[in-house]
Amino acid sequence: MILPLLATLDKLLTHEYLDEVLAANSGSFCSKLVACIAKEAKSCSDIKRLLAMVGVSLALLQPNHKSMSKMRVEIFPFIMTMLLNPYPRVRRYTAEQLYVKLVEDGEIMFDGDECIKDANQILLNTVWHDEQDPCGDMSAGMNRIADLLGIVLSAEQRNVKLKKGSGGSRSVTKDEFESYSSLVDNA
Amino acid sequence: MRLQQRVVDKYMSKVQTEDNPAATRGFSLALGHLPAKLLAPSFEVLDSVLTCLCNASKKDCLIGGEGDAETRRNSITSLVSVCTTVGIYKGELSVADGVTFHTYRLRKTETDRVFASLLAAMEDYNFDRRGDVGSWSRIAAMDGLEALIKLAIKASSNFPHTFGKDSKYPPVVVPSLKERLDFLMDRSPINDQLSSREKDDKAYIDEHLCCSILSALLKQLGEKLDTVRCKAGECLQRILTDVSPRLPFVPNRCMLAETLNIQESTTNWSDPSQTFPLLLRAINIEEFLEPILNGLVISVGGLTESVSKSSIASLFEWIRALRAANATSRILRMGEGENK
Repeated sequence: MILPLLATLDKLLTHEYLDEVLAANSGSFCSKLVACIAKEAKSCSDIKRLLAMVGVSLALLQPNHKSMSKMRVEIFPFIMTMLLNPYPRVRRYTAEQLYVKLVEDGEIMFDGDECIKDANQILLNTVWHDEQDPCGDMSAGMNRIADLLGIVLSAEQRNVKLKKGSGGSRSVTKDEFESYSSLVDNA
Repeated sequence: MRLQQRVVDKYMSKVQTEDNPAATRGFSLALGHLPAKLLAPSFEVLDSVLTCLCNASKKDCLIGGEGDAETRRNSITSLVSVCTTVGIYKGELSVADGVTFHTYRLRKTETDRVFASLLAAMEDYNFDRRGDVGSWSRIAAMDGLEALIKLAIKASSNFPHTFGKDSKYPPVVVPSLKERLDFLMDRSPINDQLSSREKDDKAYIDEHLCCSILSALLKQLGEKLDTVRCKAGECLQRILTDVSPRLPFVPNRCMLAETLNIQESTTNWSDPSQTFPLLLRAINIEEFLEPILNGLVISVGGLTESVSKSSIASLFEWIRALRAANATSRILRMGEGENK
């Protein structure tokens, strides 16, 4: 039931049909929704669901909303944690969507134009879908983006280490024809 | 007694303990085909049969460590068959009523249990590699609710039963003088003191139950699967138009019938372009807003394009209409949690 619910929320938010709900009770709906999504994401191993969660949380960021600053404080830490999600596809999708969001609405949401450009540069330059992060590029990239955008993260959120194979996917650099190598050698 | 042990007890024990799903499917279905004298020679036997089938119909019931959709569906079908075979208590029967063998019949507690199981089965959204297998249980539960409602209405004594059969909907309800007098006598304070317990026992349907059943059916009417929507629409149509017996305690009956075009027998409920606009008219009835929204979410966020398109178009239109009418409180209801 969660996936259809997230898809419905995404459609309603994208078409701005939930403006009244978001504005009511000084944005309590948004706070509750982000808390629920973050809780669900912790134990979720369904990629489709995780991607939908990223989509909904970014759709919640409506730049012209009066409680935008409050929403930003609640939503961005979750987006940052999704940049270091164990699943490479989720990391890459989060980076792509965050890039689009910052290009579209970054100037309205954040004060400094330079910091958005720098953050976008990091989003573009980091290989988010790599299985391993031996040099800590992804962690460093995420922390740098958070600093540039003024997002406060806890020590636990800043020190996430990606373990090999934690997302259960194969490396992107792996040779697809590796299993045939013995045949090639013999020939 | 020996036949009882060799048939009913054996079937129940197989349903409860067998790890082979083929066996549980067969035995659960077989229980529903037994005669009343085997199913209900005493309260204990009937109670254990109902308990066995209610447990087997639960959405989290496991057979050999895994869920089995067919067992759940068969249990629901049999649960309703048992109720139909045994009947609901509405007074003692005699030989003059054609009774040759005394069997126990469902009382208020047992009827409530069966209704609760059927309503719980309407929330079965289990999935496996075959797809939405929970829909089989939901469809069986809808048929079951319709059958049980009819039995319960006929057996209830807390409301009058005679309605104009030939009149066009909505019927003008004028029970016969005798019935009205009997009903008023039944309601008199003296009578209340004398037999309140027995009367409560025969009040099988109340406002809350009626609202829960209609809510569950309306939720299924917003389903993503054509077959489920079709079944829900047909059940609602029959339940709301039948005058003998007529379902009492329907909240905003006329408005509900009008918004859903219940009198229009040509409505194709499996066609999303016909169903969703009608459903989004019924959403304006306060009692049904939440269940309709719950059902709609599954269609709007579903993968079937035609269903998603029709449902989202109707939902957006409804929100636009609410905005135009400045009915913000209704829009805010979408952001509220359950039971608010």
